[in-house]
Amino acid sequence: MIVAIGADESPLALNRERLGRYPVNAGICEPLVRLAADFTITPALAVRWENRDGGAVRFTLRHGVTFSDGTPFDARAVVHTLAQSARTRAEYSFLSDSSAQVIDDSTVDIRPERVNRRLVEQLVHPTYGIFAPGSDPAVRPLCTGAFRLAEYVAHDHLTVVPNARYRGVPAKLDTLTFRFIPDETTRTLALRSGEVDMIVDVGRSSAAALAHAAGMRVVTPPPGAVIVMYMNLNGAGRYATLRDATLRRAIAMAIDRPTLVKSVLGGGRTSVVATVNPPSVLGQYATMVHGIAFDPDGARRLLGGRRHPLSLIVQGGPIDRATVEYVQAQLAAVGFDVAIDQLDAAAFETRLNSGAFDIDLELPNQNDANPAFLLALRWYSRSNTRSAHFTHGSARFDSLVEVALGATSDDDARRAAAEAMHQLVDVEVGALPLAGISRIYAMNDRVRGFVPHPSRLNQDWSATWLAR
Amino acid sequence: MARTLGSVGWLARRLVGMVLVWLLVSILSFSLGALAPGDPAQVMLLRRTGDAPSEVEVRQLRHELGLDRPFATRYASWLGAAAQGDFGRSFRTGQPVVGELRSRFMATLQLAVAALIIGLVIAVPLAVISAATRDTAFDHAARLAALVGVSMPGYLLGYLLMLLFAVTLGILPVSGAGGVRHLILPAFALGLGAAASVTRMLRANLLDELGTDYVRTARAKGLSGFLALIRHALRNALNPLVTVSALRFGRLLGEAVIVETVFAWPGIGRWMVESIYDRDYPAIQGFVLYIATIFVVVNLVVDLWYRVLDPRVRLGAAASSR
Amino acid sequence: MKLRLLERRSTRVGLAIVALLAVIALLAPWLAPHDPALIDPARGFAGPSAAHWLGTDNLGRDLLSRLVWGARWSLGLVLVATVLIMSLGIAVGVTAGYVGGIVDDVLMRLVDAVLSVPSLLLGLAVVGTLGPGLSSLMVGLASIWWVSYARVVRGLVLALRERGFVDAARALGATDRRIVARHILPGILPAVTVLASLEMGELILAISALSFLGLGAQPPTPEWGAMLNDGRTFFFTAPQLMLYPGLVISAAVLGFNLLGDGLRDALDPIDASRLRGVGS
Repeated sequence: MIVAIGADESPLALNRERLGRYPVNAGICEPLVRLAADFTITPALAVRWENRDGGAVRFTLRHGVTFSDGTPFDARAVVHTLAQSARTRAEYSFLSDSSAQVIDDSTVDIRPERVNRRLVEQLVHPTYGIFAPGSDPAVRPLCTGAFRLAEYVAHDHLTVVPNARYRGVPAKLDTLTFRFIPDETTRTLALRSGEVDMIVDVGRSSAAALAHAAGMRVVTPPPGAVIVMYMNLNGAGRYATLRDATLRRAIAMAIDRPTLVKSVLGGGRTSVVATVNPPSVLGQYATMVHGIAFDPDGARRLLGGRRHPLSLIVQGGPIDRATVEYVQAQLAAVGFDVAIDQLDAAAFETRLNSGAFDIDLELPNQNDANPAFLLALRWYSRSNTRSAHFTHGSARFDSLVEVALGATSDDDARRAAAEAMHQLVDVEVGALPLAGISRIYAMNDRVRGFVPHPSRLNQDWSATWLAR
Repeated sequence: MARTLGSVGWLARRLVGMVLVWLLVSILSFSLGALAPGDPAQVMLLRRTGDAPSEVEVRQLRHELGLDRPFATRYASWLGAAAQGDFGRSFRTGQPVVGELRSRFMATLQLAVAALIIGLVIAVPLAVISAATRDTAFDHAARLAALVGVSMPGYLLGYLLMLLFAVTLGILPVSGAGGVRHLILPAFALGLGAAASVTRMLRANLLDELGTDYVRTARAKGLSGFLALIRHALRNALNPLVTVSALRFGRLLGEAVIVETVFAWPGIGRWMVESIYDRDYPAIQGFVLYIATIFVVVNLVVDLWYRVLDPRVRLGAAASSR
Repeated sequence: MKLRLLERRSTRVGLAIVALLAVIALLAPWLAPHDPALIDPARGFAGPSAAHWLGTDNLGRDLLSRLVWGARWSLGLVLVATVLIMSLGIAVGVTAGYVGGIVDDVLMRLVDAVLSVPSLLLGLAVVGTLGPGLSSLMVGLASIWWVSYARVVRGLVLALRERGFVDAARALGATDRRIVARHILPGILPAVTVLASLEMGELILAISALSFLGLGAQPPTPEWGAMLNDGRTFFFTAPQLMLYPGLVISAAVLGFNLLGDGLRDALDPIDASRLRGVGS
């Protein structure tokens, strides 16, 4: 089966060591725990885990697992992998290269640098997929997953074949090839011409056309990401406008999100959400976040007839221009004159990290089970992202995030995260979630058994097969 | 004797000029990185860790990369390495720039050569017939087609070709690299524009030649107008054709950026766009100097060729990237 | 010159297209039936109707109004770019041709240097490093496209010198400044104008290519290249969103090419020969 996806980012220095794991997760490697479609965690290479004193988590590893070359999997591989991934990217899991300790062959203790009770929920991310100590993950990732790497040609394709030594139900496909086609229209044409069997990240317009085409199927999982408007709460100089909570509330009231979802984003499984993460991450507590209702007259009253210039930054690509223009027009209608800068990644990061914006429009994906991941990353004052300096909110918000990060039970964490999100969205209006977005897949009708995962990085390909 | 001396002098002047051009290009390309806003060290750390780096980290990396040295010093050491074929390491991939540069350039070269061949195969007969049948319906139709060809944005043409040949007829693949079949559509998308402009220029040249005395004489001697055109005019229009092709070829390399993006062709244009988006200055600088070096050398060869072929040719009239 | 110019039908067609677009650009506020930025997503993708002659785009904006305003933006951009390019090209070309010697050598090698990298890619590098936006687009275009003007202008100046104008004027005691202003500039202007009209089509296409790569006008500017690029997403469901701006761009390029060709042929044949191979 051939799957066409966007540009190949594997050769980048940042991703070299994660070939086949990130940004394309080809099912070569398995992490200790896996993310289910409802954003809960299930066992993978670890069968059990328990919190220990001093912030450590003890993992009991699965017995009898071997890497695809036959060498046995054990605790040393876990320690080796986590140390290596900590060296390339520490992130907000707070792991260092000495965080993981071998207790015995099938037991590992992981103790982050700071207390991080959400660690297990973070380890589902494919960048924590375990590889064999003797292998070079940048050239030939040697792992325990349902597939093993057959061939990788940079900027062209990555092919995997079933791993005969896989511990679980064997993968059904003979070969699975990911072809890199950067242009979305070209991907769609490739599917229509029969050159590929499936395409990923289908545009809404192409999806609408393909849904009616003979022999084609369009599949969308529940939302795995939310378009979020980040507001500069601590800006200086000409970017200090949104320090004023009244103006932030007026912005939230100015945008007709149901119409955005229905008419601009084109329905489907796109949905109006009040949360900054996909709501299912918060489970039953998602309803604690209400969102601010559309009320343009109210917004105008708040502004008292005055007009305010605003600078909005957005990265070209993930968020389409229509959404940006819609937001611009709606804000103009109540009294905000929004200048838009659609930037490439480098320029965008520079602006973001120097606080040179009033509004930042982004589409962050939820790829792990941690309900407080985005809160801790982007608004928490002790986050190690620099832009958080401009977006962090009140002390009350911080303390709620800390409760979520320190909660020992998943349920407590979800409730605390929901409370923090309510504080952020409804009380402080530091962020405005615009719409829940799904990654769209389209395929020909020979593709069977494909169940789309809301988290793009946690897609499982092993049950998919191709009818003759 | 005087002729030989003149040639040696010409060659010497030409070589000095060439070195000067090359040095100017190197300054231009190096300045591109130096003038651009944003700190490469910061961007590099950002790319590596995904997080904004601390001031200390940035300062340290700036030092490691030598970015804290004066512009002139950095330029000199960069140029020294570049002259030996070392363009440094890419900020994005951490790999030597020159390896990727070479493989990506070869892919684009392949595409551009194929496009030029397609362009010429279409343009030469079209221009000949068009000139021979001046002001007839065919001539008008050919000229209109050529004008539309020049006026069309490349990616629109790309999609239309894919839709027709890959989706509707199902005879050619949509995208990717590998084999001649993959080359046809992108080369066509790129080559049609070239075909159009070569047709226009060649037709004009042929009409000029048709107006000259010896073609008139040949006609008077009884050859049919068409044969006269083929025999004499085309032979004399050949030199301009080489010039026009060389001119077009440089442009094809530039225009390939669009076609490469649309057809997922792993060429140098796409690589350049990616490098620009990531502020990968060693890659951008290396690219500019690399391609300019090739042009400068090709220019010299073309000049020499003309000089051997036709000593009367004015100096310095040769290919450029436009 | 004027009579010869209008003899050819193709030139008349080119002139008509360019004149029409210029009038549309000038009168855009009065000609456009709607506000080009007025959105109404509920009425997106509407077909042609009495209210919307060409229908509406994905956000329910009137397509005709956007195209009309697009004429103002797109042609305005090209005009500004051309003025910048011409000024730079003439300054360098006149200096090189008039001063001569080592100055000429160095300037012409600079021209060769810029010409030795494909202009679209070099423009891309400049615009990309400066960041997207109209001003960097202008700077990017101007910093690359001036070279062909410089080369042509230098040739024209040399030709003028050969004809002896300069020496005669100097013998009469004219200053350099006066010679350039009175004798050189008027002498080269016709050819430069022709060159500009030949290159305008090219600039329109270059802007559309840069828009395709995300380096064009920022929303909600209804620039044609940006509109064409935005329409790409709707290639399958609403091809008219790509077709209309595509047609307008092609028409404008066609108009400038036809007009440029006609102007060139009407020009002094010696000057015209310097322009062959430029444009299109």
